[in-house]
Amino acid sequence: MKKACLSFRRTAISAYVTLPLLTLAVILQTTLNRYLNINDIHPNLVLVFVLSCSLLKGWQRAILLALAGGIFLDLLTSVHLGIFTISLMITALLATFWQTRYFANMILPILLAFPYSLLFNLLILIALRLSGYSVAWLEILRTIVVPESLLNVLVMVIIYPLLTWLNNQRQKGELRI
Amino acid sequence: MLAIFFLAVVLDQLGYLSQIRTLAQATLRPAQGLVTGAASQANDVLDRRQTLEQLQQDRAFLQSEVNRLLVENIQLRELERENHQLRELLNYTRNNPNFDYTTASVVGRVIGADPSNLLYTIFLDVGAKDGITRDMPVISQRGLVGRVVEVSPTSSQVLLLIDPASSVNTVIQNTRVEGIVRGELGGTLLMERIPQGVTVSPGDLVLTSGLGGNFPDKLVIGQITEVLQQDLELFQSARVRSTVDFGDLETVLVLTAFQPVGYEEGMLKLQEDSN
Repeated sequence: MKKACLSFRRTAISAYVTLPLLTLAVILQTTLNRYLNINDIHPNLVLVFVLSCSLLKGWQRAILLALAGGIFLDLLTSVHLGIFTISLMITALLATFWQTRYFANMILPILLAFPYSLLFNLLILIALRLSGYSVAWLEILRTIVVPESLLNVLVMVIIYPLLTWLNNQRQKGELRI
Repeated sequence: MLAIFFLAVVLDQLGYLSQIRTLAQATLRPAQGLVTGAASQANDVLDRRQTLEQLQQDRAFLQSEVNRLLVENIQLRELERENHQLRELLNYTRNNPNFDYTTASVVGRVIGADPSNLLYTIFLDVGAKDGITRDMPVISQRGLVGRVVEVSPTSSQVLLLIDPASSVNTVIQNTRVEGIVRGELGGTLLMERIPQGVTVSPGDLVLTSGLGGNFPDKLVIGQITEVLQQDLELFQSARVRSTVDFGDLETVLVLTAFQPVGYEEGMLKLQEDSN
């Protein structure tokens, strides 16, 4: 009982940090993309944040954040509710495969942003195709998906070390994410 | 001593001491020069220090002036740009007096406030309280922007013309050929359902046809850039470049007086008209 209470308390405290950060990522993504873009392609801050947490915190946290982030994204788009949520949850879940692996440095997790961004966008494109949208696969991959994935790697360079630092603070007992 | 002194005065008056005076002055001149130089240099140093302090004060003042003027300049440019936009919108409203307009500032991300790179919506800072309802057309001074898809009391979401879910009945200006302009994933426009056998050329202007009642007619959509024609297909299609720069949207107009009708209602209306 005591252990369960402690676990719940930890999760609640973690939510105090991660959910505002996730909300901030959503707000930045919908407001500053106009300025933070290259050739009208902007990074996906929510995806990068969720991926970072997946690599750091494991599948339970990953699923929770992907659910919240996906709902945020779904609510802000014009497509059917669930497309972004499901795509993000699958991506986050698959990313946790690396969570148990020991990362000698930050290069590998940062680089992982590229394949997982590709995967996330491919899942969305498949969902959109199934919803009736016509998809020019090669053109979209070339002009949107690959450039966005590269930008996500660049953003990961900032976000992942930041979250790692926060996580280390948690391990020292000063903060929990 | 007094006697010698008075004697010297008298001799000086009579001009007998001029040689001695010259000799004394010549002897003292280098020392004078030295001291004068030193004094002058000291004076220069003091002057320079004062000048330096003055210059530093002037520099600080000028720097603050530069900053102030820079900010003022930016503000003026912003005002000029806003003024230009509003003038263009005003011209548009004057040229199209049959519509009521609500001016709205776009908030959030402009080219697709949508968080993904694949879909395109924007948010406006006007909503139901301002008379906005679903399906109202949204335009800019450059042409059709999209239509309102979601309305809250104080904000609304606009589906942009380039979103894949968007489709508009259109007509090519010079040939009056009708078609449907759809958005595509990636933010391009494709005009479909152009009958075979009609001539469509790059550069032709595409306008809304008003068919279906979702949009008013004669709103500019864009220009044809490429014709995609295959003999085996029932229809031709063409790529259209929108006249609106969706990456640069800041102020748009919502046509609040235009009452859109659904497609089915539009078709029924057409059938009734044809009967």
